Amino acid sequence: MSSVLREMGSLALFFKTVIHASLQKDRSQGGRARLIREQIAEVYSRSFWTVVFSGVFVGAILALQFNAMLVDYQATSLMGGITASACIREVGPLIISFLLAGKIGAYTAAELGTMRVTEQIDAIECLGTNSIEYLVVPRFIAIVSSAVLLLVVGLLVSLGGSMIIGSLASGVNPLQFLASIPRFAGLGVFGAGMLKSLAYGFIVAGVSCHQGYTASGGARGVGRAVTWAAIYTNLYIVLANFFLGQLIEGFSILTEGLF
Amino acid sequence: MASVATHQVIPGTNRRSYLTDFLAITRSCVGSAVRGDFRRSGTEILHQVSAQGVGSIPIVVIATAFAGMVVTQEIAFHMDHALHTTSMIPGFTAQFILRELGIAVPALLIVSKVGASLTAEIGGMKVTEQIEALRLLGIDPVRYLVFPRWVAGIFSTLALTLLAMAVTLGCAIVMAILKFNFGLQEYLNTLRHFVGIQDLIGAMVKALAYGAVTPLIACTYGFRCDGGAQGVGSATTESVVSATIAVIILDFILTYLFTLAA
Repeated sequence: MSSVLREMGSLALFFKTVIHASLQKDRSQGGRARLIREQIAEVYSRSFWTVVFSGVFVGAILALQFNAMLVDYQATSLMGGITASACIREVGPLIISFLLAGKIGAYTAAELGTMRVTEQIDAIECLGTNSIEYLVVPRFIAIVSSAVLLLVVGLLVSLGGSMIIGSLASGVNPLQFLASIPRFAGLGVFGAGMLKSLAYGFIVAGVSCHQGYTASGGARGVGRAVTWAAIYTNLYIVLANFFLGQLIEGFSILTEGLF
Repeated sequence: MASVATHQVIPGTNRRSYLTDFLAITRSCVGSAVRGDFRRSGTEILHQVSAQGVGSIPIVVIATAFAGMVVTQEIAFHMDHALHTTSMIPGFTAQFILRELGIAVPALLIVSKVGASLTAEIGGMKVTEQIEALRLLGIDPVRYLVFPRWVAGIFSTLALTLLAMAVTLGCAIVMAILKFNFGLQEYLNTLRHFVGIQDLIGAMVKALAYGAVTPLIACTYGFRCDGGAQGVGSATTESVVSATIAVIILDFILTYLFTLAA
C-alpha cells in the first residue's frame, strides 16, 4: 500500500514538472512542434484501427445488454438514447482508454524506459539539454491530444455499432434509434464525455511517461515499467471515473435548468 | 535449431502466422489437460495461481469497488430518464453487474496485468535462449511453461471474477442504500426477481473464456519474441492489445449467444 502511495506522490510531482515545462516557451526554434507532429503520427498509425474496431464492439455489447433490459418493458424505442448516453458518458471512454493504456501507454513506457536504462537520458542531460523538455513534453502533448481525438472517434464509432446491433437484434429502426438520442444525450452528456476523455488522455500520457522516465534495473526494469504503466493507468482511470462522475453530477445539479 | 525433434509442437520457430502458433499452443495445452498432466505441474500451477491470482487481488478489488459505486448512479440516471422510476435500480444494477460489468472490468485488468507479465516472462526466456535450452534437454516448452500458466490463468480468472462481482455488487448496494434510500432487505428482495443462477453460470462461462484465451495469447506473443529487450517490449504491447480485443469480441459473441438462449 505504501508503495502505491509513494508511486502516486512521485507521479504528482512528475505531472507538475511536465506541465510546468509544457507551458514554457519552446527554446528549440520550432523543434518541439516537429517532435509533437512525429509523435502524433506515431500514435495514430499505431492505434486508429484498433480503436475503431473495438469501438464498434463496445457499442454492440451495450446495445445487446440494454436490449435485454428494455425489452420486458416494451421500451426498445428508447434504446438509442440509453445506449448513446451510456456509451458517451461511461463505458466508451472507460474501455477505449483501457485499450489506449495498453497500446500507447506501454509503447511510450518501453521507449522512455529503454532510453533511461541505456543511459541515453543521462547523456542528454550531460549535453545540457533538459530531458523533460526534449523527450517527455512532446510525447505528453502528443498523447493527450491524440488520445482525446481517438476517444471521440471511438465514441462515434461505438454509436454506429450499437445502431447496427439495435436494428439487427431488436428491430429498432436506425432513424428511430437516432431520434431517441437527443432525449438522453444532450450537450451536457457530450460535455461529460469530452471531460472524461480529456482526463483519461492526461492519465494515459502522464502515467506512461512517468513509468518509463523513472525505470531502473536493465531490461527487466523496462519490462516492469511497461506492465506497471498499463496497470496504474487502468487503476487511475477507474478512480478518476468515479470522482469525475461525482463532479459532473454535482455540476449538473448546480446548472439544472440552464441547459 | 534444426536438430530439434520434429514431432514436437514448436511455436515461434518458423515463419508461421500468429494464428498457427496460437492454435498449436492451444492444441498442445488442451491435449495436456485431456491427458491429465495436472499432477506433474502441480507446484508450478500453484506458483502461478499465487502470482497471477493473489497478486491481482488488490488492483481488482480497488477498481471494481469504484466501478460498483458508479454503476448505481449510472443506472439510476438512465432509468429515471427512460422509465421515470428509480425503483428498478436493484434489478437493473444487478443484471448489468452479473452480465457485463462485473466480468468485463476484471477481465480487462487481468489482461493488462497478467497478460503483460506472461509475455514479458516468456519473451525474456525466448530472447535469452532459455526456451532453446529446454528443447535441447528434450522438454516440450509448451507443456512445461504454458500449460501451468494456462491452468492457473483459468482458475485465477474464475476466482477473481467471482470476487469482483461480489465487490461490485456490494459497493453498488452501499451506494443505493446511502444515496437512493433503499433498505438492504428491500434491495435483495427486488434483486432476486431479476437475476438468478443462470446469470451466474453465464458469468462463469464468460470468465472461463477470457481466462483461457488471455494466457494463450500472451504466451504466443512471448514465444514469437525476437530481437532482444526491444522485441520483448513490443511483443508485450501487442499482446496486451490483442488480448484486449479478443476479450471484447468474445464478450460480444457470448452476450449475443446468451440473449439467443434467454
